[in-house]
Amino acid sequence: MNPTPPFLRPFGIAGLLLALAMAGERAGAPTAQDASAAAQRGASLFTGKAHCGACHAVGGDEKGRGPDLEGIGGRAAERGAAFGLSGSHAGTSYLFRSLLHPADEVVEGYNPMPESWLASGLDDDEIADLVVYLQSLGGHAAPGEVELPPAWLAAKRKDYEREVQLTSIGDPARGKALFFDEKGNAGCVRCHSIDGEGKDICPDLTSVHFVQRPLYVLESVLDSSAFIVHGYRQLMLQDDSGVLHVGLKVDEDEDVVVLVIDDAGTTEEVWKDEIVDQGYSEVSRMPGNFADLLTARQVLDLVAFVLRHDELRAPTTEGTEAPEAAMEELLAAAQTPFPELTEDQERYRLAMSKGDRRNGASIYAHYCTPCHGTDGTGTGFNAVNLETKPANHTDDRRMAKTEDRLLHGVITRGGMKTGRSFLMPPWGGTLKEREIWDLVAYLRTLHARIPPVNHPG
Amino acid sequence: VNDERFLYARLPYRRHSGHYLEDHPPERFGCTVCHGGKPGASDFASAGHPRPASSAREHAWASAYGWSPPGPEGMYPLQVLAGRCALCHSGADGLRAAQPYRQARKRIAHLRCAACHELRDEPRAPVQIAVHLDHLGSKLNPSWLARFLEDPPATHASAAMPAFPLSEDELQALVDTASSLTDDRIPRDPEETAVDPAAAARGLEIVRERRCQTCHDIPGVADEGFLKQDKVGPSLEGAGEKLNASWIRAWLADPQAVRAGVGMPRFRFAPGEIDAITAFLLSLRDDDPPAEERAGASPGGDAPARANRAWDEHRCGACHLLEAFGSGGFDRIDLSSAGSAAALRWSDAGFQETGIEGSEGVFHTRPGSPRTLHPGEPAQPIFTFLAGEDSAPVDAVPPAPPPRKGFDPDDAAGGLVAELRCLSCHTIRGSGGDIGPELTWAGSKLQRDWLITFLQDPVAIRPMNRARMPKLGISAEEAERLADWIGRELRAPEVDDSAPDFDSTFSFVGSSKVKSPYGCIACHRIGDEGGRVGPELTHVGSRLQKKWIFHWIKSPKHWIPGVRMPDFGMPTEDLLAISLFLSESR
Repeated sequence: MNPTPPFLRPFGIAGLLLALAMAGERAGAPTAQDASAAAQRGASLFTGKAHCGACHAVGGDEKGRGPDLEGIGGRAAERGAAFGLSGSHAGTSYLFRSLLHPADEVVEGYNPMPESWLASGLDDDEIADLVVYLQSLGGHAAPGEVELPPAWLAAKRKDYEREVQLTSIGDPARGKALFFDEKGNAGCVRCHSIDGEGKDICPDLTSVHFVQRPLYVLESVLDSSAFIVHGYRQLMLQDDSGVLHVGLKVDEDEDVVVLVIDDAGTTEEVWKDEIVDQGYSEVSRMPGNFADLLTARQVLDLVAFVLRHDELRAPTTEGTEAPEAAMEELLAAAQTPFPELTEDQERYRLAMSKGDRRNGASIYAHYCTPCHGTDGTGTGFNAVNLETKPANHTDDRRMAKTEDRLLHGVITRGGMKTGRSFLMPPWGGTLKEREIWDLVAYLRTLHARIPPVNHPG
Repeated sequence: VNDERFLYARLPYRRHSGHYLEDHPPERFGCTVCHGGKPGASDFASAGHPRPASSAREHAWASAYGWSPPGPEGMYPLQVLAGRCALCHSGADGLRAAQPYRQARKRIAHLRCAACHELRDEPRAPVQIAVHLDHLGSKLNPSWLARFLEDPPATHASAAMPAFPLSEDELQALVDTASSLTDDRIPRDPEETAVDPAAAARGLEIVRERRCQTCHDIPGVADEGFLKQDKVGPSLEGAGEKLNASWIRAWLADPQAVRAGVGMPRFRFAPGEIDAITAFLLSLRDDDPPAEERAGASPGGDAPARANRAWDEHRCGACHLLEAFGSGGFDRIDLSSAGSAAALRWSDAGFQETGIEGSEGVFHTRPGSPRTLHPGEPAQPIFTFLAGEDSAPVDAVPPAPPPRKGFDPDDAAGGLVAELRCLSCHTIRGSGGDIGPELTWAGSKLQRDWLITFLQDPVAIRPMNRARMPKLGISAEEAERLADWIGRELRAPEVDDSAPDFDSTFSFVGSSKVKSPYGCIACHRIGDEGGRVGPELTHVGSRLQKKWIFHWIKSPKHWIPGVRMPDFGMPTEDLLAISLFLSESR
């Protein structure tokens, strides 16, 4: 016998046998009317409660964050068949798997689908209706082919309830203030929008709570690059003069690609016939150091606001005050279920811990002060000659937003290749890797209000 | 101590900070190299903190951490640790971390500590290293000399001489004797206090134009630059009180005739210029009322005998040479293992920046020993140096190779180089000073025509440098002779032998690339835009040779380690385009 197809593993071999048995027993039992009614209910769930339409389109020209689902019923049968299953239940099983356990197989070029069936609170029947609707898209719609394993679903729902409970201790009202404070340490509104307010540089967060689990939202705040929403990965384009352009693609036509290269929405046009290489950055546009910038409570308040912002329109409910210990447990819980640090992240944290501020200070004095000034305010004697003024390294807000590895990258590769001014030269050929980390460590001491990253005191 | 994960661990498990352990893994080098038998620290109180500057802070430390001033057995404070690098790295050359040690060593050499102390690597100071005393009476005014001898560090900013506890009698005898030591060629003038202001103003102009401030601190001559450089010449503050007018004239006319081997070049002054500069120098007087006039040049009675006794008593012969008195031999005080000895009493020494008072614990241990540090000068460099005075436990790093053979041209141009003292500021093949740019490959670098013009009338090239090439008054014929010699002798073979393919590119390509992507204009001025960190490039093709520009941009640090210009890692075609463009910017 074939090994259990990966998508049915959570159900166990028993689940598979159960599914096959059900398929055999119920074949022919549901009528065409049942199928059509179930498909209709599924269709309204698709655009409504389940919020599938937030990412998926069915036909049409628009490219969503998820694959276009036109003809999915037919494709699902093929993919199910690829696992050694045959008959109509092959497609159905594949769709159940995709819905309930989305991380197992991901269509190439897309991110894993969130477990939105949990976030949007679908019950067993609604899940089945949704599958029937999807089957009807280019395939054979047959309700009731697969019995859902009740214990597994219950366990999943219980996990979800716990997450909701854990994140309920934040105060959405305080989170809202943080979210919309443009000059604050969070300042989400500089890039994100919610309920129609804010910028559209980064994903809109209005319906994220119907789609994503609470811990995903929390993790996104704490480690932005762990998961980058499809379409918001920074594009890296190298042109034939060796220049690397990095930014979010916002537009393109036959000749140029338009990138947004900073938080102010500055755009840059890159001619397509000059592009010699391209790829996507592993680093999110979103700052990755909110864990350092915000207190645990502020993070929770923000998460509470994102998850429960529609409550604020109704009379507000008081956030439950939780002791600090519970919050720590929550943060610990938030860190565990997610993947290990990527190699790149590991490297930067390690290197950061190696940075020697004293050595960095002497390098800074020699190479950087002509433009950035002896006090790091960007007012060196040469600054007056420069059209784009040198960065002020004592600017708390700006510097705190800039991650260590980005600082390292700008110093190593120069401003031109990192979306900054070409007046900042690359020092990678002059300074050793270690010396550049020393510089980064020293830079962290210049903006004193923010505790230097990885440098207590 | 070297596990990354323990970087911020609770004491005493914390990892050492900095890069020391990456280059010196403890399993290979052990602990004693840096610690020198002194213990490590497990908490704040036992760590080698230098004594805090204020007693309030000291009190705060005492109450918060139980801190007390460290005793001789305490660990080396981080601030002096650079000295330990010198144990294995001879002279600590080229080590960035050992920069404080090199500075300290420079200071030690300037103060000529080795004249009286046995030091590990510092050679005993040559006897006549200090001012030639034989003609002192022609040079110095007696009243100034008396004031100076009382307290040299407080009197003169660039004094290396320590303050000796001289009695009034000894002082008078020394001054009288010194005043009698005159040079027959230089008449002794009465000290002038009234100077013609017009002549002094004209002198100031000449001093500015000739750029005397490159080597001397001069009151009234602003000298603003990015870099703080030590001046090679003495400060001219108070020169009017100090110097005899005739001596100034003779010195300006030909310094080497007055004192052979001095670093100052022979400027080609017009006769009137010397008088004007003399007037200016005589006008430089402190605001304090001059000390009471002493009877100068009257070697009556037993003054020479008394002076000789004082000379021996205070061991003047360690630094000074005077035929009449000789240089009596004596044992130097051994400091060559001070780094490991308890003699380095961090606490008594008050190793903080309190200057004289702070240093008393060490520097006044013997009655009658002199005080060396200037008022307010931190004692820390001295301790940094002394921490390195220890018997070397390992000979891990071989000493740096000796400098290449000294440079000593013997033809006609060589005579000119000697007379103009080019090597006081410039280095050629490993010998010379570091004030001006190195000239070892100047012949492969500079255009001959430009060089001839520049030598006659030097202009500022590098905005970052405070030191400006002085206007020596070189004639056209001499400039040509020098330029020819430079073009013939000072070559860089790797530049001469290369053949960059400039035909493969066009200068207009380079003209856009100097802006974007390379951003040359951030530091260099081209036309009416650009910064002022590096030399202006508008007409750089007239100054530099095409192949040199190519090789320089390719890797600046290959030619000058530590130069501020980055290595861009440019592809060859960009290198060619940019250097072609620059070489055509004339």
